[in-house]
Amino acid sequence: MVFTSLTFVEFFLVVLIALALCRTRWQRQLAILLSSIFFYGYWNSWYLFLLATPSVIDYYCALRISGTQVEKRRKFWLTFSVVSNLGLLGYFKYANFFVHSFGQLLGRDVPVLHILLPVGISFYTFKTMSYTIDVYRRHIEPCHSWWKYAMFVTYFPELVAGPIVRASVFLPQMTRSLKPSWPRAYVGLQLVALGFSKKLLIADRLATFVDAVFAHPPIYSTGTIWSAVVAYSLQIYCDFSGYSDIAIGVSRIIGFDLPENFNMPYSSTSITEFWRRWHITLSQWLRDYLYIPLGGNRKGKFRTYVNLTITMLLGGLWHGANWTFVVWGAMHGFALALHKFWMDINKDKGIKIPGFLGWSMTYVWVCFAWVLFRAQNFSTAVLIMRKMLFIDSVGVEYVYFWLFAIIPFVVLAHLLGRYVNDGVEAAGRRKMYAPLWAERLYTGTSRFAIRPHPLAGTYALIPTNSFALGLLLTGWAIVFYLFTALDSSPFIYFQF
Amino acid sequence: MCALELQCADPVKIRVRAYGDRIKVKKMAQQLVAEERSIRASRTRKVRKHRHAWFWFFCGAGVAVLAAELLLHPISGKYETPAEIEIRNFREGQASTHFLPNGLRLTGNPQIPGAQAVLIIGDSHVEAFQIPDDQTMGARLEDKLRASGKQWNAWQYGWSGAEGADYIFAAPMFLEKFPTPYIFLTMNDGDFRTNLGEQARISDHNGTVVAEGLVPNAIRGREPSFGGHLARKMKESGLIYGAALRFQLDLKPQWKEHTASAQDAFPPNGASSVELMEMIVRGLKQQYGDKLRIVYMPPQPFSASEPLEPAESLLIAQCRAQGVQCRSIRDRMIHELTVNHQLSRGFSDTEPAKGHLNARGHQLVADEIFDWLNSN
Repeated sequence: MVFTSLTFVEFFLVVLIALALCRTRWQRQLAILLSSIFFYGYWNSWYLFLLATPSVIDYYCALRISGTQVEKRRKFWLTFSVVSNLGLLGYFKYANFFVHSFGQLLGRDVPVLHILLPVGISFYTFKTMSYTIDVYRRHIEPCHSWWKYAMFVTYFPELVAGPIVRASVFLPQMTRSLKPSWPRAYVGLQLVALGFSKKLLIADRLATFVDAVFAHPPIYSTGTIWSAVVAYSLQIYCDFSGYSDIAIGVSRIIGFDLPENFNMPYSSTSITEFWRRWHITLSQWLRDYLYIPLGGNRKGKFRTYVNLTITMLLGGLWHGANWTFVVWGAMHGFALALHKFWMDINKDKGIKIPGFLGWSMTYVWVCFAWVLFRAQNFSTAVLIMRKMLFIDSVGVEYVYFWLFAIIPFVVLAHLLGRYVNDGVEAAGRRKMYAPLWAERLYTGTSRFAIRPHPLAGTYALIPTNSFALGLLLTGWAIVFYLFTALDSSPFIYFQF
Repeated sequence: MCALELQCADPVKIRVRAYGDRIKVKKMAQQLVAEERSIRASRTRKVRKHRHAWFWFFCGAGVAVLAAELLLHPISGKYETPAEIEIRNFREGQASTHFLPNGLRLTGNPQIPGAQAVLIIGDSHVEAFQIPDDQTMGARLEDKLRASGKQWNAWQYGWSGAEGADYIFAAPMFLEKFPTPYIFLTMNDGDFRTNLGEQARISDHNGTVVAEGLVPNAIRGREPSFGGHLARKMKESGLIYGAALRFQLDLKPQWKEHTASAQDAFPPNGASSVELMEMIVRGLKQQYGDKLRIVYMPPQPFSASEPLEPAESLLIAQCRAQGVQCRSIRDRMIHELTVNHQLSRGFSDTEPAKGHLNARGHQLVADEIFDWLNSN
């Protein structure tokens, strides 16, 4: 059940009606649990057994971990939980990949295993793993109600493509009434509309161009290839952040606040900043449960660079069972290590890369890496990269109208968001007044208030003037109806 | 309950209320009176403000609609007059197209009365809502013919969704309305979806292929729209026309951007593709006779080594077997791609290499027909 389908809209309306009809919080929680089970089972009912496995194992393991003070036993139950989660992920997602790679290494044809990849398995295994690790680290208390824990694991808005919500964020919110209310719906609906717009108006429009160019790269010129790569960078951003916005918005309407997942990543002036703004919940997960356990920056500079590379390499593998994803991760790991190295050697000298240069280098590197992320195989990726580097640059010049129509909006949104955010924050740090217009936008006292979502961090446009509201709402409805792509492609991150 | 209010001299006010057989008298201080009045006034203001809010909301909505209409006006709408029909399209490419009421697509060139004519018929590729008049295959052909000294007219007649059976069915109309020795039928991989099963639109009656079915535009030409004056006026609104078109596309998935490949439907319903192709080619030959020449427009090929798709190879084989003149523009498309780096299908706002023929594609068809006419 895809968020952008009519089936999901109908499903969500039924969920809201059920929540409104339920009298107690317990009933509402049960309604959400049943809805989540239906939502996931809608793809394939066999997936439910798979989803139930970590729900049972990790719940039990967490209780056992917290029930004993003997470190050996605690470690045993933690290991059991981690191994079971990784085993599940490894078998369903990576078995074919490793078998195939091993076969290639030996120069033999190995038969393909017919394993169905369950939707969202990477997301919910990470979620459940973080729960037992947090209990082991004594960061949180274990959940003593299996129903509540099952609701946390199966919670449908973020089940299949994130954001990766940790138990420490989600479980405390279980005390809320979960009764639908207009103030929450008002903000939630805006986020849902924003997400729908990103997906249907931008990502799906760009997908037709990107798919065509990546299907036949040899015939296109350097300019067309570059525009397709830029289009893909916007497509994947709007696709994934659109999904996150819908998930956060839907959740907001139900009564839960999910953490932010994107914060204008393409405005980053360094690769380190990019990963603070892109897929934030995954970056934080990798930092807390992989990079820091590997030693983080505590074991010397060289080890720090190695740890960064290993973390990103595994992060790349998390995205998909293909060597292109591994190399994509390695490229980012290498860039992070290089940036860290640069920062280390220039710490005392105070040399700073100018903002625009930093931004250009970051964006170009990210675009090069996206080629590996998008290409079906290495040979296609190499072909595209050659074209990008002006080698064999002749080909069809295709100026895709929608890309050039969309770019100004994305740039404007990034710039405005950054200025408003940075202006007010910087002023706050210096105990100064922010520019009046920024202050007004930030605090919502102007006609249009662009303010960060309290928890989600997403910028929501909230017109406070009736005329502006009518103008924007009607204009949006017209543009949305006339210009959305007729065929919506599945969300990119569903495959992970 | 009834209430009686007695206004006394300042600073007091007395309110007397009767509840059945009881009477309540309330003495209110001047300050309380003022507060009460203020609350009432505030409520009134709120109601007024609320009304104003809705008023301004609808004003905003109205401005948005007006702005959309103004922006869409140059690129969307249908304008019908007794002499001409103009259709402005923005869904695939962007063009203003003009038709005569008899269905012919105009070329942008003045028509020479009584001159020799070439008729090009086909589906939406010839109707060509995406191409300006002067860049259509008919216009390009006319330009080339006249430049070479032949003062001929090029007539082009296309209608969306036409296929093999339609061309057979509409043949008598074409032969009667547009007398010419040269009829070029443009075909593509979507023209062979005709059913041979229970709902067959073509059947064999003692060796004669008979087609059934209604092809409204091909029979009547482009008559004014159904719905009268008001409907015609409404279609002149870019917003309404655009929304109506979108609604149609949502309702009929097969019309979606015209990008869906017809190869999935070939051969349809498990019918024998050879049998279907044989009947279509035979039917066309029986109807149009020696005047018929088929120009095949394949999907965009990317290299010369690509194999022909089934529809193309079968069509060429059947035409050869039955003595029908048929040519494909495949080689021209490949040449155009590899030498001039131009795609023959797709527009700047749609998927590259997919969809209808673009201006380059129309030029290639015109070149093919021109060379064909010259070789004869």
